[in-house]
Amino acid sequence: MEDKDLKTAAKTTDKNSGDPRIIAFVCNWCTYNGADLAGTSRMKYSDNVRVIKLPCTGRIDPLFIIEAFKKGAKGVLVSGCHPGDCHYTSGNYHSRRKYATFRDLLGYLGVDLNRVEFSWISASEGNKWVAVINEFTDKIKSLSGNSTDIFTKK
Amino acid sequence: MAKTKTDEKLQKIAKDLLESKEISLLIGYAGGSNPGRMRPFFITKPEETEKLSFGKYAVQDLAVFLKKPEVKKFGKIGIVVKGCDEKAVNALIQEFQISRDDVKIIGVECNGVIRQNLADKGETKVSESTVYDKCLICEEHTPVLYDFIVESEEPELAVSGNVKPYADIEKLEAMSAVEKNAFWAKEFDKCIKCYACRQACPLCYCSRCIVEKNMPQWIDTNSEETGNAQWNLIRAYHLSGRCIGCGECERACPVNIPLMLINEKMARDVYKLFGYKSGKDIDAKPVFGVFAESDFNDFIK
Amino acid sequence: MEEKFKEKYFEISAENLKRFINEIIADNYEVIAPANKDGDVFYGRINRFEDANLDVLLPKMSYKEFLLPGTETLFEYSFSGVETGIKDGLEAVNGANQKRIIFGGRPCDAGAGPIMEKVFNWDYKDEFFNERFKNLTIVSIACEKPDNYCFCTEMQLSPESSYGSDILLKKAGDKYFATVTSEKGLNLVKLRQSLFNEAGNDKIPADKDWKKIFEIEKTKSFLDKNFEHNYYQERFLSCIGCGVCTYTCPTCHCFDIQDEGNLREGRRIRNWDSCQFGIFTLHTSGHNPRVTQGDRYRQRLMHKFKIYSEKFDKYLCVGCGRCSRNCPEDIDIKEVAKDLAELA
Repeated sequence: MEDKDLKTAAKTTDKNSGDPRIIAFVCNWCTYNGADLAGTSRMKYSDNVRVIKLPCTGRIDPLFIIEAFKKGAKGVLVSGCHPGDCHYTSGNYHSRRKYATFRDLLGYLGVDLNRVEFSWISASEGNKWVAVINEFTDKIKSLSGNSTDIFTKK
Repeated sequence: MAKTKTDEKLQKIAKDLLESKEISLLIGYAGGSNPGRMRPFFITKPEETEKLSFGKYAVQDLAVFLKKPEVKKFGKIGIVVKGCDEKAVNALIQEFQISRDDVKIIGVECNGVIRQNLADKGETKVSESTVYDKCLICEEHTPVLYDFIVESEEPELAVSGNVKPYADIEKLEAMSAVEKNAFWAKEFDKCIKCYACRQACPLCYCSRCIVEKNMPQWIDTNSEETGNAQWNLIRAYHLSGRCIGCGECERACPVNIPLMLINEKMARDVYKLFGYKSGKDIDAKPVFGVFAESDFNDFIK
Repeated sequence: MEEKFKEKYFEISAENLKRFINEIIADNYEVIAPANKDGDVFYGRINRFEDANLDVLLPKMSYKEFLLPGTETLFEYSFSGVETGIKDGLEAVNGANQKRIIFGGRPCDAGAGPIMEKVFNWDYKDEFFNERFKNLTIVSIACEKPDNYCFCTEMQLSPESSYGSDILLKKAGDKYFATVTSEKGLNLVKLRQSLFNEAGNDKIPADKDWKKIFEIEKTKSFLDKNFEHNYYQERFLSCIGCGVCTYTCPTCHCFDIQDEGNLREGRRIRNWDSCQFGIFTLHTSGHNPRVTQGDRYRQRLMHKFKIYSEKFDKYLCVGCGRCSRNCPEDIDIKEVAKDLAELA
């Protein structure tokens, strides 16, 4: 390979530095502010993640997870307020029930459960956000090529 | 076909209800297109009740009709239900789709119904190997809720334990993600997106299903790998904790996708996680309508 | 106008038929035949003759998917910078079915092809359908024992009709008589001419005298006169609108055009659709001209037994009875058609 080719290759890698893409669905009141805190505190975390803010984990329909995978995400994180802390009193409790079931279903149909993650991160837990994102990114990166989902063409 | 005592009793109850105008429509069973089939039968006049019947070929879950607008128009409705089907009526009441006051439940004791594909080939014996898997795990041979009950004349279903109902669930649970994926990819590949599973389900009552919403288009409409997986996943998810296990989706499926393997698995999981079984109690709150602070939390960081 | 093909007649022993099928499979022909699957019988690709189940009357689904796939890509598009790419879906269809043979289907299934061809070539010529239809070779076997759901005789076909088949086989003891009705069929025979013996028309066993239980013209005359009738609303209260009748039907051909994709790439597809769905006729305004399932089932009857025959001179039904066998709520279309004939 010539030098020029190598440079182009490096460039492409640069452009794809967001790969594998991770989508984080977070609640407006806790996790988003936690992530904000991490940012304003100048903490560094993996740039593979793209954050999508919603009012509450109760609003995060499992369809969103399907949609993220459909669009090519390698990992999906759902994160909200700790139990008892929900801005709307109980949205996260309802969400927990839903996701306990949905996660089982995903696993049963053959989706690699390493690719979905759930967490409770409060507005003051900037460092937890950083830890969760970095760990999750490492996990996703370490997955082999045959990590399965059912939403993309084989 | 000779009238059985069950038929006579059913007919009497139906006739009385229609004559006294307590109901304006009765949904029951009558003889079908071949000796091994029964079909849903709709009666509005007392004199028509003579054809009403029940037996080992009564496979349909008549509760599915309670969601039809054409049927709802009749107001007060009488319905003949087996134990499994009756749970669907309960679930509909729980979810405020029908009112308990508008439905007269005529429960029939049932000792198993013969698989339709076997009955079509001439199977006449109710036995462990000829009934649906749901019959083998049935806890409601007599419906849990009814206004009238008609006893069965069929002998009790002898369960030796040699036939393991839904045996593939354990097999699947033991598989790796890759193997499970391959198993379901093969099954979903057959799907032709006719949505018969949805239509045959008494609890799929949305006037506009998620697949019919196209702004945005959540579920791909194609009947290829991607569209089929999305549809089957979301159908199963929307029925998790709600499915009462009547198995109508699987029976209606023209390409034989084992949908009950998913529904039954989710019912088991929901029971394990939240101690809830669907359709057992009309006063219970639906499992996803409530929560407990102590709910399963292990999967969350 | 093409010159009409003159029918040719052959006989072939059961042993040679087996050899013939196995040899053309070895020649890389894709042979689709009724085969056991999941406790039922479906059309599927066979790898050897023995995999075919020729005893079964009819597979659960028809082989319509080889003429009109459940999902077909019409075109694909992509944008890259200012470049726009369009790929015609027809490219993938060209030559499809050239080496595909449907073997062991029945005269009813075979009859569906030419009936559907009419609508696909009515005003707009559907190149996708035509390309597939032109190349698909159909080798049917005449029925000896139709069941109670069958009514091909009423539908102007017969258990021994060669309409739509390129080759019709009739079993007689341990051999088959073959009626070759097209060039495609003859080309297939020519692949292994030595296995076939030419026979005269007089040798082909005469068709049996199949009895009808109702006259379809009477059904049509009822439909002609009765758009509104209580029968539809009462009888089809038990219809749940699952669409299994239309999806398993060899002649139902309604499809829905959909777009899939995003700003960068995507495709336009057509999917099977069904008149039994409430959303099928739903207007953007929210109005739905077919409100009840009775209205929707009436549409199916009208299209099959009235509208199509008025326009194309053929009923849109071959009487295979699949809709009745597969209906989860046991609506038997033969019984319905007979009822209507009696009401007329």
